[in-house]
Amino acid sequence: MSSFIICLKAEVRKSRNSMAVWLSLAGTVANLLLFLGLHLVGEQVGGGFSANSWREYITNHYDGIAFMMLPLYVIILCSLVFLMEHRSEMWVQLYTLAISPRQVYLGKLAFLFLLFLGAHLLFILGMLFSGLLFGLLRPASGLLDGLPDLGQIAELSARTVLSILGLMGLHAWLSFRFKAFIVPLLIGILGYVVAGLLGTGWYWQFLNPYAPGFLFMPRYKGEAIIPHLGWFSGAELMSIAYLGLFTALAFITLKRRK
Amino acid sequence: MNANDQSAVQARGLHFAYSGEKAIFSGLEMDVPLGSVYGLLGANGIGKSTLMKALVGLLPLQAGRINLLGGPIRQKAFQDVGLLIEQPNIYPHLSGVDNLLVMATYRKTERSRVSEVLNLVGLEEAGNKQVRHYSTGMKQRLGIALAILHRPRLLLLDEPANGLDPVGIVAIRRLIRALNQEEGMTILLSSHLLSEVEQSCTHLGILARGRLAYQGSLEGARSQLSQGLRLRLHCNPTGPALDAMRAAGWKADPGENGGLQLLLSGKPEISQVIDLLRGAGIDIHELIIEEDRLEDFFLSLYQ
Repeated sequence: MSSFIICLKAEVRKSRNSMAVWLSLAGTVANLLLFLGLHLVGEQVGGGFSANSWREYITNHYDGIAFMMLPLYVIILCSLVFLMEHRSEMWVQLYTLAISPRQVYLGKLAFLFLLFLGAHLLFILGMLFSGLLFGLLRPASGLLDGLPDLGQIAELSARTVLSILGLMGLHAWLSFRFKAFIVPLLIGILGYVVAGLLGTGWYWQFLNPYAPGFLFMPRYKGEAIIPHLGWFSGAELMSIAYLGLFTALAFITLKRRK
Repeated sequence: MNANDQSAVQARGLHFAYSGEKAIFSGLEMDVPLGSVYGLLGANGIGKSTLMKALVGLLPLQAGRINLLGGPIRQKAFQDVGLLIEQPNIYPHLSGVDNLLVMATYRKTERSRVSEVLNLVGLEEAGNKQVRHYSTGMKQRLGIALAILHRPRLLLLDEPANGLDPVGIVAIRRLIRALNQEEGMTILLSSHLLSEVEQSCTHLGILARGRLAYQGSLEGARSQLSQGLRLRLHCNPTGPALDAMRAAGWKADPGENGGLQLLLSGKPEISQVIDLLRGAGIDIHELIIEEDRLEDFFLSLYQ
């Protein structure tokens, strides 16, 4: 078995009962309940969602998570996964394995990615289930009259995953770099606020590693123009580049810290 | 076979200081013989843990060279090294068994070894309990279990008796002997307790003033002790007793609690002292014979 697979397997083992897993499960379920509630009260109360088709229902969900839940979830998730190692100085053991610390780090990054994918899959399944429930409770919505567009879900999922890669790379590095849980969290909140203040109107926003979450839905809905290369938006391409950049920085930190 | 082949750990000219601070060790030389139980002894805060970290490459040395198990430190070499430095490194949200399974995954160790090491450290009944509910001593035992899980050839244990009750200390002492004698592990353990080192180790290194002030076998350290005796006496009257002993040529001094103490060259002199005092009509109320101890040797290196 390759070192990378061993590291990933160890990460999965140590995630049992962990805060990161509970956050992924509870956070996703809470989000789904919140969105179902917002749809149910949507037409009666201002600020709620209204949906008259699967397309609208799905777009509402992605709109809801992209704005705040997604970046915050990634920031907290990274902090929690690395906190496990910082809390008991586990790096002493991890640095003295017969496996390269880089593989350990990559295993951790892969685990973060898988956890995110798992939570996202749960989100999609929950969204479809809650859509059926909404259709039953509000027959006028028409959700029971047709099937959801799987192509739409596939595109939004792919863009969501691509959008968070850079943020995940950045926060995995920050969470490894700073032992205090609060530091990467504060940096993340600051980055998120700055990206929010700059808004979608600023042309260069796609270069900001905190921005892709803000940009992919406005671009999807045609409300924002972002440089793009074929199917990929500039923000998504930058997200991939940032993942590489911050992983390289993490490797340097690994070497220096040792 | 050269010296390097016979050493589990060989350090030459080690120099380490934290940024902007005085050197913790400088020009330090160390040889841990293969198959030994080597006790690294030193006062609290003298740098034992720092040295142990440096020996496995966890600290950037300013100078020096280290060989582990016959070669320079390489990642692969850690397959044969187990360690417990400063505190047990464990995941509190997992059970003892799960902690061991995580490490078994990293170390490519078979699952059956997990229950084996839990038995060895006496945690078989607490294995499925979450570590956050463990006592300090239980965590220490789990830390040792994690260190020996992959049957390392070299085991580094930093203050292994920390947090253990007397029964636990005896059990760990026995475990250390068994690991050394039955599994052939070379063990480097640090302690500030001389008694612990005396009872567990075959070799001794005394860290003082940034170097190993003594390094060698325990027997070698004992052979460096003077062969003299110290006699502590409580007698009545004290003044004439002191005068009589000095007049007879013994080096006598007032001791604690109004007593006297004198140094003798050997046991035959004890009866001569008694005869002298009784002959002078002095009553002897208490007589304590103390042989020169390893503790005195240890203290002499610090003075």
